[in-house]
Amino acid sequence: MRGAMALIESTTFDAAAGVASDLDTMIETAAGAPVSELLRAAGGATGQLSLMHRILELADRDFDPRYQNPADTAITVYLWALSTVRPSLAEAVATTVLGLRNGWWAPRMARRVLAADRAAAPVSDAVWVSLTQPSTTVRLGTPPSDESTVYSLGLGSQLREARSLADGSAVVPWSFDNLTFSCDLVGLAPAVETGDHADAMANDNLAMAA
Amino acid sequence: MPIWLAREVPVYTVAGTRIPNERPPQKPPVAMREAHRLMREQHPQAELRSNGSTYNCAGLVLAFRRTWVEDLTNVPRYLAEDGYRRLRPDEPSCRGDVVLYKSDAGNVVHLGIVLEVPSDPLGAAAGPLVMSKWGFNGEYIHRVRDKPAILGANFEFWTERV
Repeated sequence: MRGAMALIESTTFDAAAGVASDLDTMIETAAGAPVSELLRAAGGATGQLSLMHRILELADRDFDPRYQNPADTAITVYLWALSTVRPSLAEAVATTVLGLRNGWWAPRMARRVLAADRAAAPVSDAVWVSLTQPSTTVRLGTPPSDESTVYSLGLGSQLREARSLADGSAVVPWSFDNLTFSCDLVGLAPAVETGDHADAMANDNLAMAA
Repeated sequence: MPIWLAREVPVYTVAGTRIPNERPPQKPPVAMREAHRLMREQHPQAELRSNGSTYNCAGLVLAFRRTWVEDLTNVPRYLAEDGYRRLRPDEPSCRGDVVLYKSDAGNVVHLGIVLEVPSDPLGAAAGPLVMSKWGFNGEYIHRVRDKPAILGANFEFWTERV
């Protein structure tokens, strides 16, 4: 997956996708070998979380504000890929991508993701997050710990609140937009990023939430 | 100082229909250099005319390079409202005509302006010389078929000539 990501984030890939005048053509142009590999890798939970993490990481990266965001193409492709394999996760990060500084295709893709018909998606789909107060360090796919409060975070139309898993009643006002460090949102523990056990754990977390 | 100031510029057809548009931020110079390197590699006969990135093919034809018109679906309507008509297959194109490229599904995916229509047999076989903008990448002078494949395999000409 890293090899595919390196290619997708290259200026050559950006140039190849740059011939398009509309979003559909841009995606069609981009849908080459590295994107096929990316989609294969994104079939599992670990790949999906990596995609989500990378989107937010790129969205938070500094660049010359006189120009278009150099990560625009890569973020667009990642968001499209995520929306293909896991619409609910794509919808979660789309909120951040929507406000991408100097973005072009990426905010358009985010609007498309957010406007997608949610009726077709599993209504109970959600991800596990842990909020470590008060620094708002949010982790996805990590098990509960003594120091953190664990919430079931509703996605999509339910994005604005988090419900405590302990009793299912405490609703915490919460928004992706409120995060100081958006990359912390999917700050995966190293053990989750690699290995079969980690993959299984991530799968378990997502399955439990579904 | 920002490179781009207004996100949308007022563009209307002669009949008064507003043409939605948005002027994008300029691509970084390193990205434009790489884009031209790639295009030159894939289309060595095409000549780079301009390497701006704040307009697209429809922005070139409909808005004099001022902006990016993303909705290509309505381009035939815009042209018709500007007094253009589609040439019949047996009608020759002429300098200043507009060439519309379509996908196999019939969707408009690209457009450009005819610069020259060769009369000699060899030139006629190569097709008219066209000026068009390749997305964010450069504005090129090229033969009608010599452009990125994704920009449509089929083309037709439109003119405002009587």
